[in-house]
Amino acid sequence: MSDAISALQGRSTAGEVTIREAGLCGMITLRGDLSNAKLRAVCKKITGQVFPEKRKIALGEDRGVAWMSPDEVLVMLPYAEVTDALAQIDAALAGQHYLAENVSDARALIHVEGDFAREIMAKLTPADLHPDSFAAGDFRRSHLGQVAAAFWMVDADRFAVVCFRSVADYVHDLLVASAKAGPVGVF
Amino acid sequence: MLSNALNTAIPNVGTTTFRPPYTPISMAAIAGAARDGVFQPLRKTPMSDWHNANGADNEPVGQWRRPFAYVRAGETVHDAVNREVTNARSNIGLLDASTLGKLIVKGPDAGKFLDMLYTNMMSNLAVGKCRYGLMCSENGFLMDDGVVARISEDTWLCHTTTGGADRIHAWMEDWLQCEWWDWKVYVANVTEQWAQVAVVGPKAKLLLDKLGGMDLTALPFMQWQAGKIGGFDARVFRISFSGELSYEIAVPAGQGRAFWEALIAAGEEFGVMPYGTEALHIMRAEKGFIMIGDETDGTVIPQDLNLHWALSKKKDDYLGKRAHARSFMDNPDRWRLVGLETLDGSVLPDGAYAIADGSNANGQRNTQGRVTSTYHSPTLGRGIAMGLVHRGPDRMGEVITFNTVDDAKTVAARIVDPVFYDKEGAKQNV
Amino acid sequence: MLTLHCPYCGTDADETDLHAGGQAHLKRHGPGSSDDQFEDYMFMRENPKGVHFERWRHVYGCGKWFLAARCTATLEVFGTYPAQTTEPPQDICDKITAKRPGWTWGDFA
Ligand SMILES: [Zn+2]
Repeated sequence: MSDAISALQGRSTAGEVTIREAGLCGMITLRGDLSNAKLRAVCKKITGQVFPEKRKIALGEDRGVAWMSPDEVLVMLPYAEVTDALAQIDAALAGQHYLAENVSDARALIHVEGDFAREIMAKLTPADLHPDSFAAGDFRRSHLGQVAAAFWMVDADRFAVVCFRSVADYVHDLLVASAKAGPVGVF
Repeated sequence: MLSNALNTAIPNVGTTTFRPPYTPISMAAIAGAARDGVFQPLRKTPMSDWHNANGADNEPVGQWRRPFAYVRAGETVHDAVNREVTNARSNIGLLDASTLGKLIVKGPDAGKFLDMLYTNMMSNLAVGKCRYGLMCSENGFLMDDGVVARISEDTWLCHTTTGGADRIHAWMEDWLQCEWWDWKVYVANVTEQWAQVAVVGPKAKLLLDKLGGMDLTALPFMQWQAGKIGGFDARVFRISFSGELSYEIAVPAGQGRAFWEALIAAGEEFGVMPYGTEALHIMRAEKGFIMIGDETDGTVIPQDLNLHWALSKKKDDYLGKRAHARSFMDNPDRWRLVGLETLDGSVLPDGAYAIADGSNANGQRNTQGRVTSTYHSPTLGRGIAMGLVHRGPDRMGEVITFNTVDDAKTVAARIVDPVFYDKEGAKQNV
Repeated sequence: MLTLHCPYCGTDADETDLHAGGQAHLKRHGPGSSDDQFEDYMFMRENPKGVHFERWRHVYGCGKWFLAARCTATLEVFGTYPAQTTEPPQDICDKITAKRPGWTWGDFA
């Protein structure tokens, strides 16, 4: 296989808050009956994580499962393992109605790291990011500026953002602009 | 103005009826971060940086920026377009087709679902084969087109137009969620998962054979195959929008830039050149292929474009079928697609109207057709155009007159077959 | 700004996360239907000042279509419910009746 590159090849813009593309990340869109035991089991087998509740993400070191919609989860894992994982899903769900597609190359993963990361995000999305409403373990799909994005908190000072590959530049620059404008002091 | 018209003092005119909220806010607050470089998102394909480093003169296609042509030193844009067309027809051209929509439709009811969405049959497409399809709105108007590939027993890949990727994805979800919610079908938009390159021209196969990895001799027209091309994970679709021998090759987006550069490097000995959207448009117009947004404008039905063959008679129902039965749709008395050849070889003005005798109730000159696509064809060395003309296909050979922006000047053009080049379709099978 | 509760993912979604889809509870008329039926389906729409039923999609969120009952004059939202139904659920109708006694909309009341 030819060596793949991520959308921004790990571009990082340092500052009080650093905006850093995380490089290649394996992602699988899995649609199906989320109450199905086999579906839950294969997600656990691939990621080691307990299946997430509605609007939640179950995260490990480099793997996770995020709840995308009532019939869809995003399975995250090391990029090189996607082909194997798809084969495991196909084997586990054979004969059932489901869809599993590799979307690793279709996305970019960007980290927002620093003191006021929460405010940088809150300035760009209509989602309620008050600490009482959004904390580590929560997962949200919304928009950042003018494009679709999904995000979660890795810890108190770090957000992870997934966007489409074609707008990775835009999302990076938008986050940098929001960081440069500084904290607002609301949270 | 109102106070003048009403002959009343300004305070007495009153204000418009405000809806909440009506606290004034500054334009800067409305704009927020949307200024300068992030005023609006510009979408990039995996190859966009290469294009911009190699002379791309871009044009906006939605939020994408696609190369219109790759202009070399000393060339005008027009020179570059002509060179790109000629080279694709005689050697090899490469087109970045990554922006075209790619939707995966999967499930036990996927075939039945696609038979409702497309005007032609998709359920009986064999695994490994491709078929061109049309989609209409419930109003019967043509809304998108593209090539559908059957991936496996329960999975289809639907290519859409660039502008249709999100729109058709949403269209599918709408019908699945709100009308046929008991049908077992899942859809995923994988447009950005793949970088797609059209390798076009009589020497296309030589280049791909040189990269190696797949036996393309065994790949007939309108079929696809998965495997390796030059070490890249590839899906190869043998389809053609130019009339030439052509392979559209999808590789994972992360490998897109490297794949493009590998094609450019290996293709040097065959005279490979990238081409832009204008060359794409000219080549499809030379072949009489329609373009959504040019030949269609939301008021055009497939029958207007002589696409009756794509309207299945076997199916009881598909979106738009009921509308096609309405008296003014099921009617020969419409403006229909023809080719147009100016008598003097000039290029017809885009959007020009064909004038007819007399005038309408508003005193405007009557019209009998209009130009939908018009180009200088470097292949034929003359202007070519397509247009919608009143009962056009029944009037082959007739000369009609088009207006121009210069009131005094008109252009005469002959109604001809819209396929200007390689009518037999021999070139795509070299 | 309009906020609607998405019945699928449970988010109180901001208007900018949503896509409006016009009138709810249309009945599709396909081949074989009369011109009048087709006209109703394609073109005839309620345009009330007051109680209205609409289609909305949580487009930037979970991607699901849902239906909303709200007042076009005051923007008051009576409730939202899943799209997989051909008529408004009773609890939504009861809520509307409590606030707008005697309301009617299309064939519903
Ligand atoms: Zn939702």
